[in-house]
Amino acid sequence: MGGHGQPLLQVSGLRRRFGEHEVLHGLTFDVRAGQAVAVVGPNGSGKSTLLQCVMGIQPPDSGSVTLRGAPLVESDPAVRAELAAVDDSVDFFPDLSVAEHLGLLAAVHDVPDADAVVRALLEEVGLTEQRNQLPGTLSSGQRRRLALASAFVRPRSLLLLDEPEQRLDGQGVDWLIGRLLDEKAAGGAVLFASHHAGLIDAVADARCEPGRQSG
Amino acid sequence: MKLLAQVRRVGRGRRERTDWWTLLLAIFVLAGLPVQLIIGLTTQRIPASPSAVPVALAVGAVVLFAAMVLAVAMTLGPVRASPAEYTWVLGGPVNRRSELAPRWIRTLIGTSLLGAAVGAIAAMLSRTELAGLGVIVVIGAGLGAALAAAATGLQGCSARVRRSVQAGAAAAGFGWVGVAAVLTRIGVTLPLPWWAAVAGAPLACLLAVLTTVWGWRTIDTLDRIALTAGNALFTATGSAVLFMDPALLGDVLAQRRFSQLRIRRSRSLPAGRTRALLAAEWVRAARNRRAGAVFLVALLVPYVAALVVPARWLPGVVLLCAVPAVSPFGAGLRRVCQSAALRRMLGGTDAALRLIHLAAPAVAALSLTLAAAPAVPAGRWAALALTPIGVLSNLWLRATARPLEFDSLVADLGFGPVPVRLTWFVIRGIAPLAIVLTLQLAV
Ligand SMILES: Nc1ncnc2c1ncn2[C@@H]1O[C@H](COP(=O)(O)OP(=O)(O)OP(=O)(O)O)[C@@H](O)[C@H]1O
Ligand SMILES: [Mg+2]
Repeated sequence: MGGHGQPLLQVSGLRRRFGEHEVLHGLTFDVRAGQAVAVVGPNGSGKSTLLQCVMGIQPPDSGSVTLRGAPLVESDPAVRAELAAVDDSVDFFPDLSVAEHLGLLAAVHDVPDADAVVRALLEEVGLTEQRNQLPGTLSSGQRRRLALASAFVRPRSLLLLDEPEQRLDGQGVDWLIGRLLDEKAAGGAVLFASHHAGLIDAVADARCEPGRQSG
Repeated sequence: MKLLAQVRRVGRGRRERTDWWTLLLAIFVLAGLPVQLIIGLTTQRIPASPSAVPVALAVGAVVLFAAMVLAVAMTLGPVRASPAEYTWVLGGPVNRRSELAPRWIRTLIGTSLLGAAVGAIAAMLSRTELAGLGVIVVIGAGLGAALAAAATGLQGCSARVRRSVQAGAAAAGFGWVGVAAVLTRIGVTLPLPWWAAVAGAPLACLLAVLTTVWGWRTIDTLDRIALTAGNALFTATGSAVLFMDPALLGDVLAQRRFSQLRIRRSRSLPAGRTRALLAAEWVRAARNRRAGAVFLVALLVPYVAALVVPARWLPGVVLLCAVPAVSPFGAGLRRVCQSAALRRMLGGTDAALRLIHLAAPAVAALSLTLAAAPAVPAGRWAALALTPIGVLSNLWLRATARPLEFDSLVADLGFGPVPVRLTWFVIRGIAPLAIVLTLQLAV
């Protein structure tokens, strides 16, 4: 699947500077359906900056980001329907339980048979026991699992993940690898930043290094 | 004009679009309000009442007010120590009472002065003659000290005792006001026994002495948890008052509520975008018992106020009560407005998400207004109808305000630096209330 025709996500000539310090030096790459691209590099090399530019949270100084050939505008409902992102800014309603969050996301994105989907996903991420807890009462790893689940519970064509392995235990990382391979097999595209060699080797089809000076 | 020019000059550094006309209008309106209030109160005639019932109503109001003050004092401390203070000063082998007592005594003196002032104002507003004024001032001072001291005493008690005292005090206040209100409505007049007023002052003093002894004994026994529990709330109250933004306090109160909230069964939400979001709002509201209680109290106030406040002011009373009553129902709106990540996750346009989350507060504002309507004479209903507009625009402007930035945009108006953006932030929320309140008085 995928690999041919127009790429889903195209990034070209992306530059981003903070004052004097240029973080992204004209980055160009694309992500096709069924493909996973890993964003790699040391701390501070601009991985999160790149992902935030792609998510539309940060405006690039120059260059373009297009989704299916059209400029990516974060506030566009059509774009929001296709992008599922998990980064450090994920946020929840403080007064809805874990299961209610997933149920709400499934319902607003018109997932058929939402209750069953939510139940299965809770089992998968190991939050069945915590399904009636509020997000504020979860452990940090459990909260990460909820954040990942909230991306997986809804339909999407592009997954944007900033260090998704963060705070997960070994079993959790294995689960994540399986999930991302399934995502690719189902025709989904993944762009993820990571420091986890095992995850990158198992999932990534291509790498992108924003820290490298390039043309 | 010179001031304005000065403000402009300082602001020019930033190319920020600040709406000076709205700002000026708001300042004008805000300054006008107290003047209106004073004119209204001084021209209003209070009939001389030979009956005990209005006095009972006043006493009921005092009891209710005292219950509220007690509850607030108990959640804040009242004797507090910052964690650092506890670790460095109280953690050592020092005499705890000698460390805490000076501040405590200052608090007692402060609260008794405050009580005396409240008493004096109340006595002057109700045109009591000089002897009566003295008695009321003494009662106020006694009760002020007694409340602070009793709260200290209760600080050393178990959580269960504290909760039941709070509930009891609130119930007594409501019961008393309720009975007095009913008696007033049906026109019962009871002669006021001559000794009632005279007995009040010694009684208040006795109460103050007894509670002070109790509080003094308690100070020694306060542990770390008792001394530091109120800190977060105290800080939040401070900033809420400073920035005139009750949401700052609301956040801390909400945090406390979430840490105690136990959900037995997660609700399943209906399919369909709008329906699911509205259902989630319903779940959120149903889960917030405190919101319901605040709503009921806010609804009661206009009915009680109808007995003492001139009809002209009643719509304004409803408006002011509606603000805290509706605010909890705006929790979803505030969250959605503040969190871009949440909006991305939920999808759809920002405007649609905000509008959907405006539904719950709108329903709350409308129901409060309708439920308060019988308390307001039909001739004032036009003014009353403005209430939801004022409340909702206040809620909307506060929710959609960008987070405060403390930056260099400062205006010097001659009496020291004024942070322009902070001032604007404060005015933004209050202006719609002030404007609607003025309109309500004018209609
Ligand atoms: N708002 C900002 N203002 C100034 N500099 C910034 C800002 N945001 C990021 N930077 C800088 O840009 C560089 C890239 O940051 P970024 O967060 O993208 O790194 P990263 O590759 O994600 O690092 P990590 O592996 O630690 O997550 C860093 O040097 C950082 O200090
Ligand atoms: Mg990063």
